[in-house]
Amino acid sequence: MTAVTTPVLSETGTGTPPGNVDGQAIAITVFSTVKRWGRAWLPVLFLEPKLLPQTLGTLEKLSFIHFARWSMVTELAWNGAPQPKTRLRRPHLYFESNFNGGWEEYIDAFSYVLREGMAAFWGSSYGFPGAVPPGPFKDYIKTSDRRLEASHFYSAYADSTVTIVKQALELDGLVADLRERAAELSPEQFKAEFSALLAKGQRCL
Amino acid sequence: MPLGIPGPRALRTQLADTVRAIADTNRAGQAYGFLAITPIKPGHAEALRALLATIDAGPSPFSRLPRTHFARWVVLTDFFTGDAYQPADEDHLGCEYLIFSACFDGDRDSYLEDLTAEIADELDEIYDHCIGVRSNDPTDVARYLVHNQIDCGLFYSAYPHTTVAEVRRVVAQRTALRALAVAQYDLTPEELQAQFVDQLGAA
Repeated sequence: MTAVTTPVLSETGTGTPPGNVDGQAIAITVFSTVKRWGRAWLPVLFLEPKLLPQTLGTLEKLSFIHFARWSMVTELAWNGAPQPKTRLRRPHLYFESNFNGGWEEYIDAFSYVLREGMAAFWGSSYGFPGAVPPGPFKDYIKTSDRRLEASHFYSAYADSTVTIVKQALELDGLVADLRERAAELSPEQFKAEFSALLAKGQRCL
Repeated sequence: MPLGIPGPRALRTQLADTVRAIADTNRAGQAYGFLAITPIKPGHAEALRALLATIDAGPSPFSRLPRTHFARWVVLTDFFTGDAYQPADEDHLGCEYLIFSACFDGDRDSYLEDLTAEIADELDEIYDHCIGVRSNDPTDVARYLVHNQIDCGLFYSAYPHTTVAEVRRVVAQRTALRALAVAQYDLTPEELQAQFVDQLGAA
């Protein structure tokens, strides 16, 4: 198969092809070709956050990622003819993210907040220009992402950002506490407790 | 806990997560990240794109699968190619492939069972364009997807212990609480208490 010309896709106001959008949610799908040494390096890198979950704290700082995944593709399953038997000379890094916000802002934040992380994940990929400044990195990701517009993308809570979900989870404990006691309180006591709940949960409302 | 030191329960949860994540790289807490890349029959890519566009124009079939957080289908024409930095002997796919990716609650096999039961018609139409799946047998799609599964290296979730149902419940609860916070000034204490119990009284 010969190299394929990158199709020119229309973009939404968030700088994202429309197929990659569902409400507030945006999909990124990216492939990059990994140098041979990445075959040994990436599994080690993937293991670190599992042994030291606090290293995922940096990802949590980017409070707009719902789910993300990295996979190293070293082979494709054989399903019989007419599928061509493809032997991959090098691994290929698959990356997908489900996030909210603008594409440009997402890559900017990725570049600055996860500078070392980006170098670790994509440093073994051909053509990786470095995470900072973000311009060349954006072009690098965009070249692949624009080729992979989703034909269908679904979010179960398309209008909820990660921040809203996390705030709602934090409020849940406060609401549950008052809910348990609500029936036992006089209306005046309840009003005072309700005001206290709002004061405690103010930043989550 | 003071100074951000995790308590015994948090440590147990963290330890259990670590063991699970090492044992199954596709898991983050209770969430599962599934990815399958399946070959498209020669000459079928455009028809498949058209079919997926039709599906995309209507209510998503995944809305009938209440365990699905996110899902996507992407037609993959080839790997990253043609860039000046690519090796001269870069890999090519040889045919188009269909990427199916989903983040969902619980285990893989029961989810795929739900998938093949709930959206059988769509799966039948979609995977009829792919090589190696038995046509007119939606239950075969589960076997087929597992055969073509690509494991996660790293799977991240911002709220790994929260199901779709829980997300929807707490978000609706937050919305109701915001509304009540605004409305409280027009309500007597009795009315406020009654509305709280009515709107936020069920977990």
